[in-house]
Amino acid sequence: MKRITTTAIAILFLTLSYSQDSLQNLKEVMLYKKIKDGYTKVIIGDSVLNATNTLTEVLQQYTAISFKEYGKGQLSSIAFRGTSAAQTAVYWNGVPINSMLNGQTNFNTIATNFFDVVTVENGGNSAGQGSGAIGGSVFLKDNIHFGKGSETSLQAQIGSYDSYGFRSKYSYSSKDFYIKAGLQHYQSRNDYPFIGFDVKHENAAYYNWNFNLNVAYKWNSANSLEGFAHFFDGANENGRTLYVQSVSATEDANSRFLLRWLWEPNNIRNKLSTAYFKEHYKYYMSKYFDTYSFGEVDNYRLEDSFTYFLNSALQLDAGFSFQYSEVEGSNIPEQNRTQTEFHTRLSHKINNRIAYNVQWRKAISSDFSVPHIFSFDIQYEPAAFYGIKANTATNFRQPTFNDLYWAPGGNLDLNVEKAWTIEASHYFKKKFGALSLFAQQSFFHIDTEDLIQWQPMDSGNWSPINIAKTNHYGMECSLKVDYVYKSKHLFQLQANYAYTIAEDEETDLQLIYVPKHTFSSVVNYRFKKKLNTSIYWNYYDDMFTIADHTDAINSAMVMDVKLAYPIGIKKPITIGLRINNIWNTAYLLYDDRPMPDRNIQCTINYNF
Amino acid sequence: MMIDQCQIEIYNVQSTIIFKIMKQIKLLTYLLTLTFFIGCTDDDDTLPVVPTPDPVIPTPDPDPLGEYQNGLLLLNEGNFLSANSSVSFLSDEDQLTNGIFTTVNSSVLGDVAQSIGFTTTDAYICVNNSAKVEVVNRYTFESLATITEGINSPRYFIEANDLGYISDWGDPNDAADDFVAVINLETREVASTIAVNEGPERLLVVDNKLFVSHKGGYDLNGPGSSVSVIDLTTNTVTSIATMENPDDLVLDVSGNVWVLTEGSTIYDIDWNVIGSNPGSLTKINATTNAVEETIEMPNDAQPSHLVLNNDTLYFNIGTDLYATTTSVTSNDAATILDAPIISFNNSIYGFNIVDSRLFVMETNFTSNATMLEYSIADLTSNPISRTVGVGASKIYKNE
Repeated sequence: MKRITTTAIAILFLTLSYSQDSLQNLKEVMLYKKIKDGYTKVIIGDSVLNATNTLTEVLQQYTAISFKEYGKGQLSSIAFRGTSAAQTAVYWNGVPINSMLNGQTNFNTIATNFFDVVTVENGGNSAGQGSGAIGGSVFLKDNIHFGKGSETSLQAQIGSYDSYGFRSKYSYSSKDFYIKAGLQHYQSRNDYPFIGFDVKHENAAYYNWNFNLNVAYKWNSANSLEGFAHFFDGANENGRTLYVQSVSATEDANSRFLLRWLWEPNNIRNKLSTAYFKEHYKYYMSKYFDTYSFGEVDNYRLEDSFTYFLNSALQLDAGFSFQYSEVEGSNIPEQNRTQTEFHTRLSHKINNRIAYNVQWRKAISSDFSVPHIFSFDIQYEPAAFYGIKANTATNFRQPTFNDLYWAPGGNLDLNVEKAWTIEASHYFKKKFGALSLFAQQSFFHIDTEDLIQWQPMDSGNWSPINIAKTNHYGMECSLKVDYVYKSKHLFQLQANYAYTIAEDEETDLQLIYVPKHTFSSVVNYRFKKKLNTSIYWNYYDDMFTIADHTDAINSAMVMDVKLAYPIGIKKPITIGLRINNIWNTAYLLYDDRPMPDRNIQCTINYNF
Repeated sequence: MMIDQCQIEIYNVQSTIIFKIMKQIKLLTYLLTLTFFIGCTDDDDTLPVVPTPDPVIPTPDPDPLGEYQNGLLLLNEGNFLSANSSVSFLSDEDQLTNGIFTTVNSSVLGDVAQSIGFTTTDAYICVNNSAKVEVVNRYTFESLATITEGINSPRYFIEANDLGYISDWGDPNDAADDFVAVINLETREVASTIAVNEGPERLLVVDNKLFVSHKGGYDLNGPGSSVSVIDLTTNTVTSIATMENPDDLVLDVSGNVWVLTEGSTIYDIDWNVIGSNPGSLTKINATTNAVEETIEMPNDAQPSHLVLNNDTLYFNIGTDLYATTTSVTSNDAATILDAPIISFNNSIYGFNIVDSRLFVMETNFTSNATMLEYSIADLTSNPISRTVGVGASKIYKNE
């Protein structure tokens, strides 16, 4: 007995020490490579982010997702695969930032140039991400890095209709310390003429300030502490429509703080985060008077996400989040909500070609009940240049504070919106010498129910109820080509197309503001390292503006041209000129709210 | 995406304001009925016989003054900020034509058409959120003038003694600038203004007096609670205190003015509902300006619209329609809501009774609304259903 025990312990010890060693080796080679998943993504890097102003512009150029814009500079809401704006989840460094009041993000208020990467994940993934990830999710991310020295980037911008902006970004990193700060400002009188009409876009001026600060400290190879802070302050006058004047205005002030401890011993990765984020708006019915209505939410969040790499083929994730939110507003009494979520995920790499993931999430909220949520996704790569992905999931979207508590009309008995999604896609990527090609195509189907709609009640008040059901299906495809000719000429092409059918199940009619066809394309040409020319195309299809299809917006094709020329010996200064809507096309993305005519933007960048 | 996307997204902020305003803008006018009464007193012998609803199609007038004579004009408010208000016409031969203003004039009527008022030749359409009043020939619907000077948030129009009067909230964010505009009917322009309390709404003329109900507009001073009486010879204003949110005004055959006060919901400081103020039927003696009866609604009920048809007062509370006679007194208050004469299936935005036909407009701002027609003599038989415009609210007789 004693001998067996000793032998057993010896074997165990040997095994352990052997696995330690081999795992150490593995660690150096594998660096905890995350097992691939079956979701299609679009990853947008900082060279694109630095050249744009808002998240709306970024996504309109590099994806086929459609947006509703209430005029330039005004509210911009996303319609991903024909779903509602609250059914696309947006995350800032992992923290969900869709408003707790109306469930959405105004994509014109997100200034993208500070972030290192913006990732768009297509399709339903509430099990992995949480509430609202039905049409897709957008991730705004700062990548912490060490040992890269200092980098400064400055930009000044001037454009039509009294538009001015400046940006400054500074980052410094040593082997264990990282800091990045950015301050930017943009303002515009925005009073462009409405092509074909006698009036212009009056009462549409806006400005915004963004300040961001990231700090990180790494005190050994397994531990680092990261801090992120973000402040936004902006105001916009709510522009007039073609037929109705406006004097109203909205002010927004948001702040976010995130502190994260990253612990990465041998085959474990644990992220413990604590965050505080606040949103606050004021709505002035008339900018000439001091009276306003307001809403504000304070959120406190604690989250932990634990990943255990059993080996290179098996990975287990488990996590929980706890969020406490307090709301107050002109029409909302002081209320609060606590929400705890547990999630887990199993990732299995069967062999070098196939991997699959299974996810489960349970959310427990003080305001409503959420069913168990599941997802399954799989990736199969039969060859190095070709792959197939598929996923299916159940998803949810939680009711907002406005839905539950607005007085009068709020409905405390609301349920979560539910959606079932399924998707299959394939991709092709290959390099033929100086030509690289990437093509991706996906087919999707979304079935939603219990959608929240505000309806008139017997009493005469309007209340939200879980009433609608919609059915979505379609195809998205994208193509990316890079070609370098004789080391002097660089050509790049990116094209995206989507075909989307989204119907109300009761009427079988296409939902309002969902175009059937969307197309966007960017073509880039650069000669040596000098002049860079880009042409952007967007095709906006016909859209119905009323549920019974008795009124619609006509389609339009809009083209922008951009020229960028670097000067100086080490090319630190770049002068850019961008002509938007070069053919002066009249187009709108919302009923009675035309978009700008031909206008220009000049920028000077200085990087060192 | 549903209405929540386009409306509630406007950031829910604006849309929620929209809902508040919609709640405040209770539509129903029986101005047509009133005009008919006035017409009766002046031109008794030349007035054609009112056609009664029967299966025989009446002979059309051989010499019509325009395509839109001999029928009913239906006003559709449209959706707030969508500028899709419109006017529909239902002829005596039962032909329904939608969008007649745009068809005749090739232009947009505007945002939130609140009401139509008539003179013998003209129709004045108050387009509340477009800050204008469109004046058209009431039979051909050709545009005669667009009044923008001196008009801000027009509500209702009435003709009295060869002048026109329009109730106007001014800048609705300013409680002190509300007025009644005096219109020169020949030049179709604002001649002068009479300052009144916040939120002037319905207008009713009795001899040389103009009664104006004050619902309160944006309620900056709280809900309205008075009816103004303007002496049209001197343009002086006196005020009669009523219960909260007085709206519809009707004149009965005995010369009494009936006011429907809609009541209101009471919130505490935290927006919790702690009670309601009930609505009422208030009877005012038009000669003495004295409040003679106040029939308070039981159970804090809040009525929405009032129509007078002969001697019967019809009013609705939500989807229930009630009737009582003009001899009702406050002693009858306890039993007045005992039995609705009909209950509708869907929320209604307005109703009116013209020639024994009860027209009911179902609430719909997101697409074309449904108008139901019942016979007031037999409310049990199935109604005729017609699809009209977005935000259908009021129906007037035009002849």
